[in-house]
Amino acid sequence: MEDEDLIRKLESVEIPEIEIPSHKRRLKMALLGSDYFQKSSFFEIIKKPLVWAVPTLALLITIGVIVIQPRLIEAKALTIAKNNPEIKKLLEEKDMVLSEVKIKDGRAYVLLNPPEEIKPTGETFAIKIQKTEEEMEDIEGAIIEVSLEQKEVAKINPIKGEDIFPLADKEKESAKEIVETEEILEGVIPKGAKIEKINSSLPQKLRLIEKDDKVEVIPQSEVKKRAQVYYIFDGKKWVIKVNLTEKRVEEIQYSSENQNPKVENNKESIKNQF
Amino acid sequence: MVIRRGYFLFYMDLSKEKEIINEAKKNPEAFGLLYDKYYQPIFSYVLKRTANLELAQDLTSQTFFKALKGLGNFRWQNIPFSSWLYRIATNEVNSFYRKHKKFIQISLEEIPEIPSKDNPDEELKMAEKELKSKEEFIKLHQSISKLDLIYQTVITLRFFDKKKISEIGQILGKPEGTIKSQIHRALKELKKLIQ
Repeated sequence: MEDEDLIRKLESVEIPEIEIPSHKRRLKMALLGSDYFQKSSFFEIIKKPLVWAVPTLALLITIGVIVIQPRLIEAKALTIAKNNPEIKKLLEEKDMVLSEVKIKDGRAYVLLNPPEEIKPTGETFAIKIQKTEEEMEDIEGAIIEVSLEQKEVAKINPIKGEDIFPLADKEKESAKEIVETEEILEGVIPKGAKIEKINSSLPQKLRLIEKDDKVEVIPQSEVKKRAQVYYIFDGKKWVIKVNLTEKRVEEIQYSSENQNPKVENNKESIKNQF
Repeated sequence: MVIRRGYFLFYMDLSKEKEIINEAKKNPEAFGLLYDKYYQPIFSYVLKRTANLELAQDLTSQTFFKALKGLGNFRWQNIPFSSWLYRIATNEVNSFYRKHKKFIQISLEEIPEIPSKDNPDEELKMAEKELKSKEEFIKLHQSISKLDLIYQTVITLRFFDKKKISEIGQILGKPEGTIKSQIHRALKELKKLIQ
């Protein structure tokens, strides 16, 4: 059989043309009476836009007023603070962070936090070389007042560890002892060096609160207490940061003007304590 | 939207059909219009695929219930609504045959003579008689039913339903070239069965 013959056969075969009207009727009744259209009418009502427009709009406005608007103001305050040249320098050079904003009486108070906590393990500690001696006494943290109306930083209020965590005499003694018994510091601090002062280091985890009509800083719960022991010798300065909770030295700071041969020569071995 | 029966039923062009379909998603009257138009072509197609009246009724019912259920998700793609219905019908028929591989195709001798006193449904009696009278169709159908399902589909649509290649392509969602190849291979296989 050729293809054409088969095609001809298929095209010419008498096809059954059958109708079953009763089935057509029954099926139509079943379809139009089905759940589909009952559910649709209900859903049509609840889909009507006007039914939802007013409460939705009210909800959006409420969310806007309660949630979004304050967030926008906070973001604005952060931006103003970040763009201030002095603060920009602190953020970039000292790894400080702007962490929290409080709005009060048309002003924004932005918390400038110290850099991230040192997380030493084992015998590690950091050696930090500052550019100048002034920088060793530099700002640790601050509350930045931002004028939202003027769109500028109105005031920078430095905060010190002593303001948050004043050290008791016992704690100062403890800090001194830790430094003096730290073997690695032998030769780093000259023998004749004297302790200029011992004060508390500003904790990294801080938060803002409103107190007596002012905005103040308090530590978050469970911060490790740290002390800074300032040594001075022949006009040169060293700052040793001590973790009073773990009873260990965490950081040595000294000025680059301080050509400390012992530190320079032993920097690697000191670092190799890691 | 006002549904005007007569005009839409017989002179439904694609743009009008689109309106009716959108209306049918929520308006049973609009769905009824579509049903009235397409019931017979779909039933007829399913009967040509199955050569069994009872099965054709069942599968036609399933087709329209599936269509109703899926109507909400139907997205107009500038092809006739009928192509979508044919596709559902094809799937229902093929699905049945996959599940019932041992389904015995009815031969001429097996189509019952329905005595009128046992079956008050005169329509069904007449229908069975009509089917039985198409001997050549029944014989061809027996051979066609031994082909792969895709070949059965394209042969039925092309030669029994007289669909154009482009229409078959729309129904099966395949390019025209593919349809032509499938028809060609189907004929080749059918020839072997017939000879």
